Amino acid sequence: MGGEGIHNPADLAPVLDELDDIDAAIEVNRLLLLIIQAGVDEIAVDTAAIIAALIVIDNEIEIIDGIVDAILVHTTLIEAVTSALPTLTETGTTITTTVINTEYNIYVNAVPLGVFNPICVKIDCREQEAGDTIVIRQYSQGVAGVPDPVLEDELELAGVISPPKIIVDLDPNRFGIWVTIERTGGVARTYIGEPFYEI
Amino acid sequence: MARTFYDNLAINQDIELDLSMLEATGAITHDESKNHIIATLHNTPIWQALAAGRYGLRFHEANSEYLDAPVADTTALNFTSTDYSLAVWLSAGHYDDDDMIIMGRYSVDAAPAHIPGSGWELYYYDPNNTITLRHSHNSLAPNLTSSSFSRGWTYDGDMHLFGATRIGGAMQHYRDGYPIATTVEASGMLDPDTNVTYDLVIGCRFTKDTHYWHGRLHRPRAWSRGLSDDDHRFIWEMERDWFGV
Repeated sequence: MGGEGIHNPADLAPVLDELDDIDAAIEVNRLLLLIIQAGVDEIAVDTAAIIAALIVIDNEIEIIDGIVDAILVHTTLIEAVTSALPTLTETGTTITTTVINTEYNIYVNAVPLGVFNPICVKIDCREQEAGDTIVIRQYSQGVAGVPDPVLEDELELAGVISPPKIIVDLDPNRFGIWVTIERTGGVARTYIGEPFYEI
Repeated sequence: MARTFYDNLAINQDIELDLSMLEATGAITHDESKNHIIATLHNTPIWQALAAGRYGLRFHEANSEYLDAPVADTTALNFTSTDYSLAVWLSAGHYDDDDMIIMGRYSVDAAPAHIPGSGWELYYYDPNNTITLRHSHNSLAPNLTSSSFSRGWTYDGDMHLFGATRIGGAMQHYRDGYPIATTVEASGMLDPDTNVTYDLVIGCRFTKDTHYWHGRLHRPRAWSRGLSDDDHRFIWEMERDWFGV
């Protein structure tokens, strides 16, 4: 028999030690992989939860969109109402009846935007003295077109006026309004007019 | 009945001039601010219906048409150190003069009569389609004037809302409710000198003999405060329907 059979025995102790170390390392890695796997599993669960939450949020955003649209509609309606609210406004004018028998406009709105509410004209007649005579007239127009004032009322005032402030109450109007003053006797005086109107 | 009140409207806070031009006829137009300024029409500018029934005025340069109000009645518009704002609807047209005054209460030091400059003026300069708001201050010589201008005011036939807000040395112009590029003097807007001599003019030079406005104007207004961007936008949104723009 040659080459077969019993050989000189090899010292396998270091090899066995290495194999033990490798086994240990494999076991550690196996445990680490288990830990990583557990972590990945947790992430998967969180991701699913996040996706579900995002779906809920998306649905809620759609609801909010609808509410915002409704708010915009109502805001537009509110704005339309507030824009249409009449605004009480006042202006002032000073008239000197320089030329006798001549009408001067104290208040005129010859072509209004539409239906509006002139409130009154207050006329300060403090300067009027004995011997002076004025006529205050109120005109309006009832149809659209070229200004065509129609006399509604007139008032003659002679001499000192007491109380000195005259208030001419006005009515709703659509196509034009005039309030005038004319000196028919005496001396030229200055009258302060204060129209109030809603537009 | 529900109503609002003119002076309670936020936009009307500190308003010093509001020629709403509601009369649609006659030779005077009234101011709805507390100052009760009465502006007189000269050489019969034409009352003209707007898109929504309100009226403005059409001026023709060849007829020397303009408005004015006495200096003594317009002291509230004697802006010097205060912030202030202007607004006016306008549609510029071209006839002959390159310089057209929109409105102002001022004098300017210009040849041949070197009158000491004072006050403020708003004018249109044709070759560049610019609108300039200028302060005159003879007391600050050699800086006799300080100006701000904006471009792009072309002859397109439409009504546009011009606005301006002065806050300190800054000036911002607005077109149709929005701020636009505004060039301001390097020194900033210096305080105008006080003007106690020359009337408020709308549509002509302070001497009332040249630089007449050619085109349309409606509702010139002035405030003794600086209007915000939102204020100018509000005016635009509330009034644009009058002109179909």
